[in-house]
Amino acid sequence: MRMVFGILDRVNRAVYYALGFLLAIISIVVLMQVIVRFVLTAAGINIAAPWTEELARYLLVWMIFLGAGVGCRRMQLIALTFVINWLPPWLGSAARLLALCLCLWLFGILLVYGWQFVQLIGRSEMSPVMQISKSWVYWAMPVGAALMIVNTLAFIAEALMPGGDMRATSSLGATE
Amino acid sequence: MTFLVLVMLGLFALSVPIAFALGLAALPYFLEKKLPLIAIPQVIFDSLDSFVLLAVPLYVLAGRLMMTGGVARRLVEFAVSLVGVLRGGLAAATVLTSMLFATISGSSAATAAAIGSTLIPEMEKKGYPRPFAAAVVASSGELGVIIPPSVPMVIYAVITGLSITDLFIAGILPGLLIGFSLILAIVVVSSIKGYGERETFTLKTYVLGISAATRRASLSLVMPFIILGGIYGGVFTPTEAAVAAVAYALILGCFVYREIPFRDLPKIFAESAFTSAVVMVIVGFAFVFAYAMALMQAPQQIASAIRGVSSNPLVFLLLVNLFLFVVGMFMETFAALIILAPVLAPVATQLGIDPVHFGLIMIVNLAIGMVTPPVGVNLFVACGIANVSMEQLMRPLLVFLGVLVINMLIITYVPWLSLALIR
Repeated sequence: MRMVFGILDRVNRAVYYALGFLLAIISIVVLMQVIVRFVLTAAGINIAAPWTEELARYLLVWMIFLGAGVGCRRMQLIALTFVINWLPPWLGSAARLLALCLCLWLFGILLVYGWQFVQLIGRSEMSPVMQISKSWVYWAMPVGAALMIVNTLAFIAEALMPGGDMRATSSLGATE
Repeated sequence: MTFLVLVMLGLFALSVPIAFALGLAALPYFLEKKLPLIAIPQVIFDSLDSFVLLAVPLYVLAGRLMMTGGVARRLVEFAVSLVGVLRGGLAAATVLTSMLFATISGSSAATAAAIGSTLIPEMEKKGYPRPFAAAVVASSGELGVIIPPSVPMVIYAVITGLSITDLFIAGILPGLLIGFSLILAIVVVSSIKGYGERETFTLKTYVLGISAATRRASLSLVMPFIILGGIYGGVFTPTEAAVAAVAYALILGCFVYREIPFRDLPKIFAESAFTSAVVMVIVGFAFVFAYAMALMQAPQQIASAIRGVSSNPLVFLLLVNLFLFVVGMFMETFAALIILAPVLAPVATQLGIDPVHFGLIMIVNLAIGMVTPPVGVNLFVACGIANVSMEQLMRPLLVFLGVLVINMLIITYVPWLSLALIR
């Protein structure tokens, strides 16, 4: 069991740093757009780079779904926890467990219908500028949902083990 | 519709994350009407695949880079040199720094954290009580989302389809009003209570101090001009201005001030990406919720219910103020904004209220929510840095809350403040 958690946490760590990598590429790509628009145009060179905007948007979609997936491991998604912390511990834990089961139901729907969306729509749709299959974008949902499911199950398993607390939350630090 | 809202509130109480609670609350409606569930991914992708939304992680990143890269500290030195000689000068400088920092950063907690970590210990050294120092930081931090750029404004624009540039510009005068009235309140309170050591004032040292601090901060002071000037002059879109801020902060932090070691960069990028992803995922599911609400014609129903009470826009605005104040006490600001904007904004438009002005009213209202207990992100940040309890913070905070509420009413009933600068 411990080994499973070890592997999972390594995966989450890798995804967490991948988020930073995605943001770095987004920054570079949008910066390129600015440079193309201002610097090169001022220099009399007229090249348009509409793919920069498209690529940045698609990477953003991946960043959001992967980020939400990682957030499920330590319950770092924004939630109101004052009710479950105010209730007696056993009741608060039961409420959180119910909440997590409901989340798992939603994640299952996201996984199944996200996958169907890739099959039915992503396959036939091409991105307007880059002309790549849009399934590259739409895979973000089933992949993110799978990560959410695995991480939520791991959170529940850890909370049920001795010393675990179902009501545990981790704050994001000093940022919204 | 009432059922949908009750389900949502129940899910919030169970501590279901806001994003998923919005998705789950819409599900019964989808199932009952036998709507194809494949509409869910469709709606989510349509809302998240947005160039405007890209501004959110970029402003968060720029804020992080400025905090760690030495920009924040230089702005503090600059503000202290300007107003440090007043009674309560250091506390006034805290507000001034928040205003400067807010012109670059789009988030209120980031503003409070960046400024609190340097200025709360300084204020304590100069004889301010710690709860007072924390209250100053918490309340001036809200300027981060009112003075442009502002992450909540970006999100509000995405939801309502307004121009972000207009919203940004609308925030300038209200932000100045709030900033200067907070400074006034600080000077008055400090004079009455005798906070802060008074330093001997000579014109020569004052001018020398300002010129030295301005020189040290000069490169950081250029940043507001790049961002605001670029957006206001119509040169940059807000997303482009955000990436310009990132690039400039990176150059200053890594090469000019050399306060960000390269090995810290992956961590800074990952943190920024993660914190903004967690906010943006709410946007995606809020659109699912709004989709179900729209199919039920809920905004129309709410609008007619409100008109049943009163069709006077001034009464409506007062009700909105009261309602948002209560909501802001208990709910996370972003979540409240994302859920309520699609419901309230159309009603306001029907009553003849300018949509940009109404957007600003919502932002200012919910920014106060960041400073009102029990749930207020600025309070958590300020208490954490100052190491005081929420109860200790309450007494000094009340004066500032009063100032903020008065400002909110002025901003609500004087549309000119929000609309004067928009062309």
